[in-house]
Amino acid sequence: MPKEPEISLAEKTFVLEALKQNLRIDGRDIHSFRDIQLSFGDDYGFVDVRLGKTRVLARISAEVIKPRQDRPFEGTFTISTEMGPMASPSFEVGRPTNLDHTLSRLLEKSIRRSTALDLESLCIVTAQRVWSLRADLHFLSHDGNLIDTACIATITALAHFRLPVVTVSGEDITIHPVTERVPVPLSLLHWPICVTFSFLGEDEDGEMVCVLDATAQEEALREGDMTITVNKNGEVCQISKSGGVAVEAETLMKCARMAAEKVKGIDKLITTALRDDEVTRNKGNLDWLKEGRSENER
Amino acid sequence: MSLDALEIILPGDALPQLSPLLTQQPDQPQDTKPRSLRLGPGLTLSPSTPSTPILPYRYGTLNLTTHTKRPTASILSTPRHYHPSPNDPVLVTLLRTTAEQFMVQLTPYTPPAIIPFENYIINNAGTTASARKSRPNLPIGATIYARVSVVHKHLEAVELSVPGPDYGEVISQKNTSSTPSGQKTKKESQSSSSAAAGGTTGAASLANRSEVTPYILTTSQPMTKLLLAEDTLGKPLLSAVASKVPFEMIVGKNGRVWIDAATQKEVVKVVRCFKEFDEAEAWNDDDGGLVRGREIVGRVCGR
Amino acid sequence: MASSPLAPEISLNPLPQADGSCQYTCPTSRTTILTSVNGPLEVRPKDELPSHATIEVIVKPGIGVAGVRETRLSSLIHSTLQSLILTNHHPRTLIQIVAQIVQAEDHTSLPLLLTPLLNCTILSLLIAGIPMRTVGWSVHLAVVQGAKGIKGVEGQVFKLEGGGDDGMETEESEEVVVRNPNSEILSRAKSSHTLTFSKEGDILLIESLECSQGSGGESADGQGWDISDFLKLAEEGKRICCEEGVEIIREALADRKVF
Repeated sequence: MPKEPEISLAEKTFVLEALKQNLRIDGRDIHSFRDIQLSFGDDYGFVDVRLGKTRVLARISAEVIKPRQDRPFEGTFTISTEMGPMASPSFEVGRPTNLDHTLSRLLEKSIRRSTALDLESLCIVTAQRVWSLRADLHFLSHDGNLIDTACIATITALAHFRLPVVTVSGEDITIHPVTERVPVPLSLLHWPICVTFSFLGEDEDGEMVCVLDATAQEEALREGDMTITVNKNGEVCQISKSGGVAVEAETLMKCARMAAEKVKGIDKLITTALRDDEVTRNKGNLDWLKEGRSENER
Repeated sequence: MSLDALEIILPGDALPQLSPLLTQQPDQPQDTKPRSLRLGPGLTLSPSTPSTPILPYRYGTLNLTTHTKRPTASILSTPRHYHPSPNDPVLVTLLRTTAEQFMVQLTPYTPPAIIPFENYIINNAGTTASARKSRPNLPIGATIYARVSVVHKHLEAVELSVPGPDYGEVISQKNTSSTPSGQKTKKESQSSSSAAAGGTTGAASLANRSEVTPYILTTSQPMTKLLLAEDTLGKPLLSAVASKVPFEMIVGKNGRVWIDAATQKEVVKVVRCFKEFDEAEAWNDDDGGLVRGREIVGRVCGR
Repeated sequence: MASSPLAPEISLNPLPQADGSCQYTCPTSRTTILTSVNGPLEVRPKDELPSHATIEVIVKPGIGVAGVRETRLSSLIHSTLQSLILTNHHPRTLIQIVAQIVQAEDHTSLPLLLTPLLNCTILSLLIAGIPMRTVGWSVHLAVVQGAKGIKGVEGQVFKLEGGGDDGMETEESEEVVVRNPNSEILSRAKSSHTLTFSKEGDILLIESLECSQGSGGESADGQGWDISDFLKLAEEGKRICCEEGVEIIREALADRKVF
């Protein structure tokens, strides 16, 4: 028996009618994101992202392994997204839903395939030792737009994470604990950020209503959706529109332009949050405000 | 941190205050019936634990009514989850219609409840929905205002009833079946300074509007209790909202609240006020949410 | 709002959609757990029990996917809850509990996780109003040889015999008991004991194990522990759970209005 709760006709009619007039239940207009709140943990690489009632945690961890034989210069990076009933009772452990598959596919395309993370920078000793990075995403509460939230969480956590310094002498490598040598940031080439549009009927002018940052209720009522991943330079990393209602190409172009605008704002928000966290951590030690690179000698 | 005269009872706590009510007082004449103690929600008999013959199974405060003929003890607490009890008025969503009953959703993710056709009374003459001709043709997703009639843990499902024309399908689109006008709570502006006070009366005004406005909001149990207690707990919030935006509401004890106002924008304002109050758990504040309620209303409704 | 440095940081109902939830941080080991409870819910026919509610416990690790360790943890929690929850109140329904390990010094250490998981879950169940026959509380005690170099907070380190003081001036070779140790102290411990008691003093769970001393995973000397010492330890654990633990629960709930 499907566990999705039935939405009453009253809610459905109201929401769809209101959207035609650019009115949403939480008072936003259809092109506004909810307030994005970022908070960091004690460890580097741990971030808690909230978009309204949607809440996702991301944690980056690293270990040293032997690289793949066909890619001896590269480290590895995996993203784990397992949804559970904490986010919503309709998720079951061990039974991935369509959302599970879509989410992991989109993050794969947006972050891994777009080489946001420079895997070669994770190499310690060619063909012998490389860093293996892991992003674990935990979905704590689902009120729509898990995709965009998960992407923001992953990118922010990657940007926040610090890799321990490694010195190589011949065959041996020494991983220095963080108390001995200050750890270094990852080499991120760009920050791809997902923006998902939901299509909910046509307004009075016959144009498709494209809603940004849909809540769970809006997602349940939508006829189609599209996710565009863009970075702050306006470069599109991926576009995904799997089925759903047919949308005019003109509308999709408008959405892409809007996404590029939104991403600039989100990028700035992440940068500010990271900087504020760094200041708090180091209590104003100015050296740390300079971008660190893994090649730096200390 | 308020100093509560009533202490918090935890599950398994002994309740010495109740033992005088259980035993016969020696000075009473022999022919009077022993006063039996009725156990309300939160308390159960536990003969297997002699130290706690009456066992509290939830946390809360002890609520004892001794002045009535039959004293009742219960544990007062309001977890978010709705537990149906007989005679609760509820707003339910139709899931499907079978040969003998309507299957409805009381709350998301819980087992569905049923409204047997013979319990669905459609007019004042007492005609039930059993005959196919008199059965209302309700679409999936329709909202029905009903009453809980039978709840027992060993029954297949919770049974509801529609006791009369005051209940039944609630208006969700314009020009559909009648509104159960008897149960609506009209919240109009009390103060003279507010504009747009106007007397909105019953179904006639709704049908004349061009917009489709009713919305059904989901609330947690504490919030639902607050909204039902219009004159006590709910007064700060309800009067604050009504002074800015006149609205009508029907509260279902299962945490579903039907809200209607003059325009969609106004309905959204009311819904937002309730939602933010609920999410902030503002009733936990020392002042019962008075300050937070005013702040929310001021921010959402403007002016 | 307890002033004791040993009192955990508790935040009730942080999740907006769950029936009951709790975030719990152990002050000394910095283990943070977030639990959610939903129920009674509709149950899948294959999990349905005719006269009882089905309890489902899911433990989600902080790093990696759930494996044997998480299955063991959820099974321990499940059996503890079976004796606490009154499952006959809601037959043929589901009580769904999810525990997310948010932060841990050592994500692979089962003893460090068990106590915070149990305590956090019990608080969530109370908030959700799930019928329970009583409350319980858990404490993690480690026996360490020699108090030298153990930096504990006030009241964390003590001796078993008599003396209720901090015992900081113990001799090097004397055994001390450390309450809610962090991973550093645990790595030096002889044995680790997770004790869970009900409010009335009944034992709900004992999970004791011998630890390998020192770093490098040398095998334990196989001496085990003396039964009378263990009983003294259990008595102290019982006192901590039944008095302090229940007090912590009452204080945490006192801030929530009841109506």
